Amino acid sequence: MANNYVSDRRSQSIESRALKVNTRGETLKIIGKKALPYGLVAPSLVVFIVFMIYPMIYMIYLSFHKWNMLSDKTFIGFSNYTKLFSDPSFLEVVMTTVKFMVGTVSVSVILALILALYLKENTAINKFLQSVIFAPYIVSLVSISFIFMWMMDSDLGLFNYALNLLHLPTVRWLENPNVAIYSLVLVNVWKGVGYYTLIFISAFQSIPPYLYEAAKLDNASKTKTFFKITLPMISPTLFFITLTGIIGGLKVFETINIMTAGANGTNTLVYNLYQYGFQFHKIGYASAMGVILMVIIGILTLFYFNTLSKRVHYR
Amino acid sequence: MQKIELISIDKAYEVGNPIIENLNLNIDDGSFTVLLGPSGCGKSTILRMIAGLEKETGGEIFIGGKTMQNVEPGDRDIAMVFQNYALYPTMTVRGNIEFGLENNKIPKDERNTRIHEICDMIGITEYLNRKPQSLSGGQRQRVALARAMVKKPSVFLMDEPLSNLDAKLRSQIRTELIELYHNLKTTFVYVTHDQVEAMSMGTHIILLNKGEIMQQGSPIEIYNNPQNIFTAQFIGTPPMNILKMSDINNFKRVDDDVAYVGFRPEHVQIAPKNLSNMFAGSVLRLTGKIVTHEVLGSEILYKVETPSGVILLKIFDLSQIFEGEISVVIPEKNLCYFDHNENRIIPREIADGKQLCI
Repeated sequence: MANNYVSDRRSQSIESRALKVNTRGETLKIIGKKALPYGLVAPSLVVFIVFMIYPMIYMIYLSFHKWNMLSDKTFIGFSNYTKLFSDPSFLEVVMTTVKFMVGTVSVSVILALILALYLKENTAINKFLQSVIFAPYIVSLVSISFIFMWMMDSDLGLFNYALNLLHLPTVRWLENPNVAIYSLVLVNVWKGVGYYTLIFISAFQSIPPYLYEAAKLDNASKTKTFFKITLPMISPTLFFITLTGIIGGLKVFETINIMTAGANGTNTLVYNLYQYGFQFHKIGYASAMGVILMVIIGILTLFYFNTLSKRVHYR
Repeated sequence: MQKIELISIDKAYEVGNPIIENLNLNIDDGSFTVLLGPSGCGKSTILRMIAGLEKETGGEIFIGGKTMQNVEPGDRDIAMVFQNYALYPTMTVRGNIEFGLENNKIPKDERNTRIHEICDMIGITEYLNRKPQSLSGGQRQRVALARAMVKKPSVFLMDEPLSNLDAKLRSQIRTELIELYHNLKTTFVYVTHDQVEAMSMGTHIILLNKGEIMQQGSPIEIYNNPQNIFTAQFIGTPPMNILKMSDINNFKRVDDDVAYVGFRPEHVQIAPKNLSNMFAGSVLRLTGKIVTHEVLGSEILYKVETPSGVILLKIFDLSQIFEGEISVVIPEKNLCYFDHNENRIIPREIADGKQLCI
């Protein structure tokens, strides 16, 4: 259509006006039209290549080298990887990361679903509660981590003070290796749950009410309605939230850096990577870790898309 | 098969702004009752109250003699077909049809027999494993029907089920619904704003306006014998022509209560102006100028401007198309009279037997 229009106009102008000037002007116009989309995409493409693609490739390149940022890079083949896989503490780091990710995602999602179910009606009090519950999300994770670190202090913290008041045994929140990682999960859940809740609320509200009426006439119980209608209807949202949650959980850093510095069984992949790269200056080794993290996330995402997306209902 | 009774029902969505006040309504056992009316007349609200999706503010509803107070929609032995079908988009056609049966704890074997029986009857067996969004409007409507039928309810409730379909499909499914009704012999309650649907399907029509029953009866009765101007104008296409008595010069009634006279567009005789005297004995004569005509195939619609007002005529004589000045004659037996409150009356002189009137 558009091309016809252009050529029509061109032939008309050939007839009516001087040939040379017009064809040139029209040609420029066509080139401009074709170039415009590329021009519009270019800035973000440049940013993407410079800050995403190039570092990724450079990281893979570095992972095959030994380098402390000062000396020359020496190529050492796969030895960074063999060293990593034979290091029991690295396996522990991976396990901690998975523990953190699974804990954060499952608790956040389930809690957010429950909260959303209670807050989905748009009453005045719910609107207030929705903004209250969302508030932590807009505060920086660094500040939140500091505040929680003080509150979780074993001797002077608010948490143990409260437990004391209730005559309950106190907990060494960030020092006990069995507890520390879950304390961090708690902080991340507290920050993220409001965001998830809000997204779930809007997903719930987009479900047409007549489906619930039909379900009522079909004599469906509340539980059955939730699992057979509500949950499938929000499956795209659920899918997206869990996927981003998983990726975010695997990349956790700030909380750990501030609250425990990786001690007491809280050393996760990214923190470990940071330590090796920027504290011990083993850039090659850290890069190998980065590559592994990337591969894990890639595999998980692919797996997730291939298995679950078939069960997601897109309208 | 159950009869439905609504006894002094009130309904208000907000306090002080009632939609329905003191409505009494009986729906006969095994009837195809159509709730007909313009949008906002409360017909859907009535249906939803019968279904239990909407709680009545006052009054009581009985289905089969049992009160429906505090009875959940799922326990009322009813099935409903929604205007937008309300199919569960995440389930297959089979899942949609089976959902209600599962919830009613019907054993697997019987579920399967019932589903196949109904789907064969409606002709959707080949779509059983497809999702609703891959079906056309007509197919979806059939699935919605199957979902309602498979429950074998004693009352079918239908809320404008055909209004999302195109005209051809609408008339096709309309015929199917009539067949279905004759096969099932169950109580049907059907909501529509389309009087053609109401006339063609209903055994009993309840015409509503602003939450009040304007008239009820069989389609023929409502058409032939409208009790008020609203009914006269709502039923029939084009609507009944209503003229003010005071606007007509050569036509008088002794009875002062007569304020309006009405006649159906199809009940007139038309002739060129100079031949108007050929209809002897006819009562109402009007002369006017034809503004437009529409040839509809089996009939011609004329819009005529008369000194007494604009009228519409439906003429089945296709042999000639009238133009310009014409005269219109309406026999007395086809005239309807209405009083100042727009209610039907029979003028005293006719009631006294001076002239014949239906």
